[in-house]
Amino acid sequence: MRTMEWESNVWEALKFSVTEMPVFVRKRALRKIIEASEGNARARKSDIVQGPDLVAAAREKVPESVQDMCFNALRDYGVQIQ
Amino acid sequence: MQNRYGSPVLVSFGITRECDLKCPHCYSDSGERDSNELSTDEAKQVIDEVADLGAKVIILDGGEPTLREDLVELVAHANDSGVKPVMGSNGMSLTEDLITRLLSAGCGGIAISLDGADPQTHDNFRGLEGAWERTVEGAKNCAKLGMPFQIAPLMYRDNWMQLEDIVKKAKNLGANAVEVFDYVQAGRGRGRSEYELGTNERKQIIDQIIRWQSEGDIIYRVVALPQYWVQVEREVPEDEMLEKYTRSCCAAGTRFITILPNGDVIPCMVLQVKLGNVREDSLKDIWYDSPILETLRNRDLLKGRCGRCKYRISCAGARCKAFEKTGDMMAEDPTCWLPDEVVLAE
Repeated sequence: MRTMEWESNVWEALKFSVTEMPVFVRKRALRKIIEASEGNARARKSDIVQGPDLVAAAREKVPESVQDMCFNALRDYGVQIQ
Repeated sequence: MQNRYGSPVLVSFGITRECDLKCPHCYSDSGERDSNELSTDEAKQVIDEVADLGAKVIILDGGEPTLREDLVELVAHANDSGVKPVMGSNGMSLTEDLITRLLSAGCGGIAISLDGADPQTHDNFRGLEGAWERTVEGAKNCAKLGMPFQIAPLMYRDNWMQLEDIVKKAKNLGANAVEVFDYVQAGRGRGRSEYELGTNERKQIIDQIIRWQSEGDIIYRVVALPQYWVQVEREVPEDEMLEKYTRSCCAAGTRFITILPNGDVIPCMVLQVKLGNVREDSLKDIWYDSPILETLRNRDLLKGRCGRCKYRISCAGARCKAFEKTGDMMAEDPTCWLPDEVVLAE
């Protein structure tokens, strides 16, 4: 599903939050977050997806109802939430 | 604001200590109703605070929540407040009439405790002859009326070998999930080590659940046994893990918080460290400002093997077991069997 390299803690944080989501919403949510995160990395001309790329993607693509869950996971893995 | 820890996902609200069973392990030491129990108005205020905190789901449990006369009123209040109400119950009072009223009030599902594949095992542990039959009847009523339900067995020394049969029973009854609890020596179970599983039993349970989840016709969740998730991360291909498996790390105070019938707030029903009381403190203040929760959330403060473990975020050890064993909620999980070469960071 990934087409780019991800910083390992950022990918771990995403896995952590996605596996907490209900299984029936996961696949679609994961695809949308990955596409948006990689799009954000490309937009800043980077070959590696980093924390801010995922944070911005989560803000846009994660349903509001599970956003806090996702951001908590990012914090747990040391990703700064601006 | 942005750097503040986000809302809990789940809040467990024990609305009564009253229970019609006499389980020797009961983490909430339930039995008689507490004279200091929150009133209907107070309970509604708590529900409002839970909704205001941004939690997505409130679990009304106990004790046995169906013994509280205002249960349906509280379910409706939660639903109207925007937090999805679900319940944890022994299932014995789930009549068609009550389930119909709970559905109308917006109840999203019920976790039903079933500790045996046969009446004898369940009734012996639960302390009431005929309990199994009534619990199974309650589950059948849920299935008949379209109330989503899961079967929640507690695994202990005398029933762990029945897990496969309990799962079969759950599927036959129409459950949409099985939530397996590992026995924790808390509440009335404190000091009752004779019920606790050993490493081999825990490993076998985890191996079975990983295999069954891969086959995938029902959702499995595991509580108080976070090593399950380490095993999933190590053994299950990443794509399959992301698609099918539900994470089970210690969520006490990070995704989850518990309110007791007298208003006391603790990180989790089995991590019984008092954080405050909703009669004196706002739930929001407790969630965001409790120094105990701040410590609990900082996985870098974990001690012993848990502190050096490379899975310390995704597993975190069972904080309840560490606390019950040592009095220190950040101590290493005393039941972790994973070898150093697997878990210790280089």
